Amino acid sequence: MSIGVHLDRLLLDRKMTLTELSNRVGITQANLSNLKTGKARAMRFTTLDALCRELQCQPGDLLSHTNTPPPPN
Amino acid sequence: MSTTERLPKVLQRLTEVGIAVTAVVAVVFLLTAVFTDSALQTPMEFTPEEGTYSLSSETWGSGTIGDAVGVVGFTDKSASLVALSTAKILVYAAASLTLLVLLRSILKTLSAGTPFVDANADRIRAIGILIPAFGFLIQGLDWATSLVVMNTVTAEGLHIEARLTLNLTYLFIGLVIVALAEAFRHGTHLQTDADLTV
Repeated sequence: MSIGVHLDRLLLDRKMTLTELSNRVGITQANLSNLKTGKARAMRFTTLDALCRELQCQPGDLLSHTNTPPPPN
Repeated sequence: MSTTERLPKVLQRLTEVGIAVTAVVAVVFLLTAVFTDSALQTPMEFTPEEGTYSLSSETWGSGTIGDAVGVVGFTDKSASLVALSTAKILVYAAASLTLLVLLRSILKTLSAGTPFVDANADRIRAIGILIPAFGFLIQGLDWATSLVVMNTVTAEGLHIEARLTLNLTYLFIGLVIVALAEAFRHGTHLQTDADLTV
């Protein structure tokens, strides 16, 4: 996927663990792990809102887009 | 546990009992067909020869009988008739067991709370293909048996013919199930999307 999720970097900057973030935003570690590893297909605005609130960042800090060709179906 | 949660488990147990009963019944039928003198029966078409019967009505005058459908049975079995009836029992048993095993697998995933998987769409499609396939195979075997009977027996005062029954109901049911399987497959993709939405 050409959308990158920089959860790792933000957690490292904030010295926060995935478990702590999971507890704060009320999202399971499995789902956060899916997000971190790029397995997730979509993100709710409510999730984005909660992540930005707890990580004190903007959506653009969390997500980025790279121009790579889409994978074949 | 609520009724909706209990129902798949009950149905799963019922299919397991069905598998066991079908296997036992098939073995009993096979043994009966091979080792006993029970009558072998096959569907045929009958037309009585003219002059061997009379049919009349005061209102409608004389009448004829033709293309009557019935069953002929024999107690002294030939190897070919035993082979055909055994094949028919085997097809019935294989059809019932295969469908029950597929149904059990679907109910198992339903009990586990994960029914929306591609494997279930494949199983439903397989059921949709197997129902007409087995249906036509059984009808074909019936026809083959009646052909053997037609070429073997001598009938006095009666013209008998092999009967090919093409029951398209199996095909219609199969098409409906295959269509539902594809709709189900679309549902599994939606489920995957929902599962991977954070």
